[in-house]
Amino acid sequence: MATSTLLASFYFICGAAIIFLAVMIMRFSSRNVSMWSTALVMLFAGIGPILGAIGVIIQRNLPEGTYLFENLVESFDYTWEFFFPALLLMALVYPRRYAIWKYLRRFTFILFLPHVFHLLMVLFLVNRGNPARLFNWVADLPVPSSVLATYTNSLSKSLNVFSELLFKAHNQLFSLVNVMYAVLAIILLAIAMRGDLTPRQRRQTQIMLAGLGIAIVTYSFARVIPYLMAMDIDRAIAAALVNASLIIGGGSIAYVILKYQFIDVRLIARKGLFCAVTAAVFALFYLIIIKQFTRFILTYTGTELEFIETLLIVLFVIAFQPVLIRLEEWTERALMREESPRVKLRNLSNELLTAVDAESMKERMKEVLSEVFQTDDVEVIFRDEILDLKDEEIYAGKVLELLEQVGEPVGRLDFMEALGFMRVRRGIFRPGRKLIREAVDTLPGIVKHMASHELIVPVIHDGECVAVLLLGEKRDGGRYSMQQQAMISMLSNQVAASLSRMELLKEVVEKKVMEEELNIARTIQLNLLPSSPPELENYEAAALSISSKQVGGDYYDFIRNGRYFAFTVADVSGKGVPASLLMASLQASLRAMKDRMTDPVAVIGRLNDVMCEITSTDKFATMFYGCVDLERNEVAYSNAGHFFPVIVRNGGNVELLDYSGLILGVKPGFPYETRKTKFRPGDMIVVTTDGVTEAENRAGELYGEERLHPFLASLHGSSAGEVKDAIVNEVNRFSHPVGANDDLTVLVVKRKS
Amino acid sequence: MKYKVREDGNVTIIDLSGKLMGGYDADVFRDLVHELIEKGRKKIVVNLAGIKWINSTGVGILITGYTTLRKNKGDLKLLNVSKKIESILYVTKLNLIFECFDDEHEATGSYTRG
Repeated sequence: MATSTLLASFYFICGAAIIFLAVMIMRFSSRNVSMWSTALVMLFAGIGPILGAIGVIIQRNLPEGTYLFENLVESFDYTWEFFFPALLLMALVYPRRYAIWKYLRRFTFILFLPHVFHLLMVLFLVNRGNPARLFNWVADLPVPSSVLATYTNSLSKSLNVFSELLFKAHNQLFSLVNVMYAVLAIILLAIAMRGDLTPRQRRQTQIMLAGLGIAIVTYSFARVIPYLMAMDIDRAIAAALVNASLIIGGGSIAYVILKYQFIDVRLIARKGLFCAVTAAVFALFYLIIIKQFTRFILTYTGTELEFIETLLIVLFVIAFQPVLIRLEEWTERALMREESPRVKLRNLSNELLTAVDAESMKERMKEVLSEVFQTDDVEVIFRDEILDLKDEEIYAGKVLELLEQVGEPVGRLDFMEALGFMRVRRGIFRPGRKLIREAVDTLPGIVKHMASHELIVPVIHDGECVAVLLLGEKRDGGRYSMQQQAMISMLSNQVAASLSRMELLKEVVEKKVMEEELNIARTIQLNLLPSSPPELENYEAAALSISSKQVGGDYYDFIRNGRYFAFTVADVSGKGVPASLLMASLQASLRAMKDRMTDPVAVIGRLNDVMCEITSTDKFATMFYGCVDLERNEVAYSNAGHFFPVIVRNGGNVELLDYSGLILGVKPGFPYETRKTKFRPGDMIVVTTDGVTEAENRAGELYGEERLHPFLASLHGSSAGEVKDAIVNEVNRFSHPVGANDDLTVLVVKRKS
Repeated sequence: MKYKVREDGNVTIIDLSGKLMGGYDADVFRDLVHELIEKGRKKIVVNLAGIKWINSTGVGILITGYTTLRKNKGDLKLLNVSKKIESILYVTKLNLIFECFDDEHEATGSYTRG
C-alpha cells in the first residue's frame, strides 16, 4: 500500500506538471497548430496518471477487496486514450508540416473517430449496457405481419451477435489501434528527422522519439503483449505501466519544451505561483467566509439556501478582479530578477532615452540584444548608411519602402518574398535553412546582407524608416517567438524616438557652431575693412558697407602711399568664413602690391592670378581698383567685372567709368587694361555694389541706374560723407518696407572744390 | 530659381526660370552640375529664357558651373540670353567666356560640330 501511495503521488505530480505545461502552452501559443497539438498530447498524457493516482488515494479510504483503482483508470480510458490521435496529429505538423496536413486540417476529427467510437462504447458499457442486447429493439418494432416479425427477430439476433463480437474484438484490439497510431506517429517523426531540420529541431525530435519509443514499448507490455501471448497480467501492474508510458511520452515532450524554451520558463513559474496564490486566496475566502455564512444562515433559518453560496462565489470572483490584477503584478515584480532579459531590455530602453551619440548607442544595443536574444549577430544600420550604398540605390530604396510599409519585425522569408526574390511554397514544408541560405547567397548586396539575418526590424519615425535592426540566427538555432518580436518591436520605437531626439540635438549644436562660425567671419571682415578713410589734403573719402545677412561678401579698402591714394571695392562670391578668408587673402595680396599700386593692371592682374590659383571652382570676385595721383589729379583705374562706377563732374554731369575686364578667378593671365580720367575740383567718383541698383521696392521694381545716376547728379555739391549717407538713405527709402536684400557698399572719393 | 533638365542626344539642356540670385540656388545648381558630370553628361546648354533677373552671385553660379565643367573636360553654353543679362555678361566680360546662342538647335549643334 505504501509503495502504491508513493507511486500514486509521483504520478499525480508528474501528471499535474504535464497538464499545467499543456495549459500554459494553450494559453500563450494557442494559434500555432504545432503548439496546440503538442499541448493536446500533453494534456491527455497528463490526465491518465492523475486519474490513476486519484484512484489509488481514494481506494485507501475504501474497504478491502474493492478495486476502485484500476476500475477508475479503466473507466476513464476513453479520456486519456485520446493521447494517441493527438500524438499522430502532432507528428503530422511538427517538426515539419507534412503536405497532407493541407488537406487534413479541416478533417482533423477523422483521426479522432476511432477513439470517439471507443468513447461511446465505453460509455455504453459503463452504463451497464449489454452489447448482446443492443439490437433487441429491432425485434420489438411494430410490424404488420407475423412473417415479417420472424425476419426482424432473426435480424435482431444476428445484429446482437455481431455487436457482441464487435465489442469483444474491440475491447481486445483497441490497444492495438493505439499502438498503430503511436507507431505511425513515430514513423512520421523519423521521416521528418531525415529532412532538413535545424540542429535544435533535430535534437528535439530525437528526444521525443526516444521518449515515445519507450512509452510505446511500456504500453505494449501492459496491453498488447499480454493479449497476443494470451497471458494474464495483474490489472494494477498493467495500469501502472500504462501510466508510466503516458508519463514518459508526455514527459519527453514536456522536457523538450522546457529545455528548448518553446515558452518562457520564468513566465510559467510566475504564472504558476500566481495561480497557486489565487487558488489559496479563493479557498481561504470560501472556507472562512462563505462556508461560515451559509452555516450561519442554516443555523438561524433552518434551511440551506444553496443558491446563496453560488451567488456569493460569483460576487466574490467579480469583486476580486482588481485584487487579482494587483496580485498578478506583484508576482511579476517579485519574480522579476535583475538578470532577466525583460529587465535588461527595459534598462536598455532607459539608456536609449538619454543617449546622445548614435554610434555608442549602436554598440550598446548590439551588446544587450545579442545577450538577450542569444545571438552572435546583431546589427544596427542607419538610413543614411543604407542610402549611401551607391551601387545598390534601387534595392536600398525598395528595401526601405518595404520596411516602411510593414512597420514591424519581419522574418527573412517574408522579407525576401515581399521583395520578389523568393517564392515561398506555403502549406508544404517551409523551406529549410540550407535552402534559404542558398537563396540568400544569390541576392544583391544589401538585400543579401539583411536576409542573412533571421529577423529584420524596421525603426520607423514619422513614417520613415530611419534605421534597421538585424537579428541573426540564435545560438541554439531557435526562432524568435512572438513575445520576443513584440519586445524588439517596442524597443525599435524607443530607438526611433531616441534617434529623432539626437537629430534635434545635432541641429541645435550645428546651429550653434554655424553662429559661432559666422561670428568669426564677421570679426574677420570687420577687421579687414578700414575703420576710417585716410585724411587727405585736397581730397575726401567716405565708405560704408552694410550686410543684409550677418556676413556679406563686399569688401572695400583704401591705401595711401606718398602722393598716391588707391581705393578699391570688391564683391566676393560665397559667404561665411570661406568668403571672409578669400577677402583676407585678396587684401593681403593687395597690400603686398603697394610698390606697384600706381599700376591698376598689375594689381588687378595679380589678384586675378591669386584667385585663379585657389582651386575651388566657386570662388570669384568682381573688383574695381582706382589709384589717384594726388599731385597730377588724375585717376588710373581698372575693373574686373565690377559694376561700372560713376564720376560725377562738378556741374552735375554723370560719366561712367565704363571699362571692365573679366571677373577675377576665371581665367589666369587675362589682359586687363588701365583707363585714366582727370579729377577736377568738385568731381567725385562713386563706386557701389549691386546692392544699390538691385534694391527692390514693394512693386518689385529695381532701383536701377536710371534712378541712381540722376540722384547722384543732384548730389554734386555735397561732401563725400554726405553723398555716402544720402545714397544709403535713398536706397532705404526706396526699398522700404521690403528692406535691402543684398549687401550694399558705397565708396565715395571727392576732390574738394 | 527653378530648373528642368532635358536631353537632346548627348547634350543636356537645363531650363532655368525665376531669379538667379545666390544663396540656396548656388548649392542647387552646383549639385545639379556635379550630378550631371557623374552621369557623364558634360555637354550642357543652360537656357536662360525663363530667367527674369540675375545678380552678380547669379553670374557666379553660372561661372562655377562653367569652370567645374571645363575642369572635367565638358562645357557650358548659354541659350536665350536677355538684354539685361547680356549687359551683365558684358560688364563682367563673361561674354568672352560663355558661348551664347539664341537658337536651341544651334546651341546643341555647336557641340556636335565642335
